[in-house]
Amino acid sequence: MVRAYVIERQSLARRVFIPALVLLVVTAVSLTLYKNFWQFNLPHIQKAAAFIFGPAAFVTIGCGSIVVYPICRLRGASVAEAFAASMITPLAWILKEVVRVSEFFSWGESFYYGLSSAPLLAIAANIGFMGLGEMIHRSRLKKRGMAKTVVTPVPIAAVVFALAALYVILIWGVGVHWFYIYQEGYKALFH
Amino acid sequence: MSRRFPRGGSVSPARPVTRRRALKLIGGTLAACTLAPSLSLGALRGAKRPNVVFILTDDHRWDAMSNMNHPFVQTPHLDRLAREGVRFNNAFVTTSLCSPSRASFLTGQYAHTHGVKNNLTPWSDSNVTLLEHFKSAGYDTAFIGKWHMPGSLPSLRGVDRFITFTVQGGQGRYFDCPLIVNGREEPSRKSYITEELTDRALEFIDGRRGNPFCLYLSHKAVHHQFLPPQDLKDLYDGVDLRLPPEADSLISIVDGLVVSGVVGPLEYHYRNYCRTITATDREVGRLLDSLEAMGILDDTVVVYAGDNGFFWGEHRLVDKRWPYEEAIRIPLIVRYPLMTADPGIPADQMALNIDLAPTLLDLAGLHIPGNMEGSSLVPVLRDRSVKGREAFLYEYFKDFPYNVPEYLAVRTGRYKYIRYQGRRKNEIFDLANDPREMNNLLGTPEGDALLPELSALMDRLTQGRGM
Repeated sequence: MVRAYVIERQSLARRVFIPALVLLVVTAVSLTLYKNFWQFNLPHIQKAAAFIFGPAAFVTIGCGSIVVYPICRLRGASVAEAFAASMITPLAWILKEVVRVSEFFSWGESFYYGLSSAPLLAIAANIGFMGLGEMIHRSRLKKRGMAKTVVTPVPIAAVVFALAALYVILIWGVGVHWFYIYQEGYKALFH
Repeated sequence: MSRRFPRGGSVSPARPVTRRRALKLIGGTLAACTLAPSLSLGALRGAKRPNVVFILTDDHRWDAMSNMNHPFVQTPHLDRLAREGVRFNNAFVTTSLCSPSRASFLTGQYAHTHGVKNNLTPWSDSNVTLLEHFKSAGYDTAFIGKWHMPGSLPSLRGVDRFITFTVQGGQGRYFDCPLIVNGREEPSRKSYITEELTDRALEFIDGRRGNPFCLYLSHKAVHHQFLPPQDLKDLYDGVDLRLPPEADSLISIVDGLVVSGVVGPLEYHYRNYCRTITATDREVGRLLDSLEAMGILDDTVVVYAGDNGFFWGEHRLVDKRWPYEEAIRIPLIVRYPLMTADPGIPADQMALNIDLAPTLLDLAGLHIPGNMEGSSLVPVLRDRSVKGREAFLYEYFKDFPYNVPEYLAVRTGRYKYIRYQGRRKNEIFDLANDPREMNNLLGTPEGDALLPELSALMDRLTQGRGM
């Protein structure tokens, strides 16, 4: 007999903010340590530190939703809430990048920079991982007898979207074609 | 910028020969024959105009050659050039970015003058290239290789053969790169682009008739994606790369450096970069051997240069747009025995990319136009103890989306002053005591004491330039 589970809808803080903030903090700490560890002048462990903190920052920015999304859903978050919680870290990183590059560019250009390859890939990858996360979440529910189907068009579309973005932005002409399209957009807007 | 080098002793045919000028020439020749016997033969032979081969590579930093004691990169043919010619130990670009630097080599002008300020501002066909000057003097001319300047392909005046490529935004491909030969697309006959371009160069040289020739051979190598030919793909496997202490494998993907395209472990790309340099060196060797076999090597001015340097982790950077030494220094070697005293003795005078055009014209005995902002290096070729320039102006214009502010810099023999636009703090470095430029002196008593002089120098160098 399948035991009946009920997903308890936890408080907004527990179902949305805490998972999102934990990821955000891990990202911020990883990024900071990755970028500044060499200044501690510890050459014997610098490489190891770089290999820990660099990938940690990369993974939390680009793939964080694979963790955050299912956790939020398990805590009773709606799809929209889990989506929002998952996007906080990549969006915060993009905003940080926009502010950082405003040192070099006008604000208009800086916001356009927020649409460059790396930020777009971060968004697309997280959308794809949310699709995966939703299916992971459903498969858990299915095991508990609370869901009938795991694979539906929307999460599949999210995964396909991410793969398509990965291809167009990074793989097609080793990223060169997309870069020139992006540059044409820049010229049209700012030149 | 004032011309700090005296002009070479060559005589322009365009200038009328007055009695005073003729006496000066005779006197100069006699003095040269007396004081420098090694040069006298050259002066006599110099009646015949030399051929010119200029080899430009992309992103080849100044120290990545075995003659610069690089720990493992092997460049025997560049070593030969340095041994038989003059290597400029302090050669720089005035803008460390491909398109502006290439336009500067071609025109002898700063980016703010020729107008190619970054990879977005187009080349203007009103610019006059050194090839146009050579053509006017009766040379057969060719531009072969990477053009890569913003805008459509130019209508290059004075170029008999124009072979280039437009794929990948003009960057070309390392393998099977389609070429544009005098406006018509042709497939590459050899798979590897450096070999193909060398073949095309040799065809041009071999096909010449009675005229001297001027060849501008502009390689794609060793630019990103740093791909060596198949037979060198395992070269330097296992060697200690000795990357700088502040570097790590992943720096190319943070802080916007990913737009440089160097995605993936730094070590992987650096190894390939070094392999690609050796592959390019091999083609330089093939070209030199062919010139030698044709019996014209010593009648040919051969110049090798890079269009800018490259960071491999220094300052936690990749790419080339910041004004630190790794990016602004270039390899520059000139081989022309007929006009060179003491071959193999390097020159320590500061040389610039904008010096190429006046130097080549000077070596060929042609008039150097007044709108060229560089200076002939011929006096340095003749005498390594001649006084060189004391400082030069460096400029960089915004190149979206590369994360670098616009700035001006002044480099003297010892100091560098960088004035950034925007909120980034300006910098002063003491290159003698801090060659890696890790300690910004600005804000220290030493730096603050240097600032007025360096600032005044920058103002002086920018004066009247509309900057």
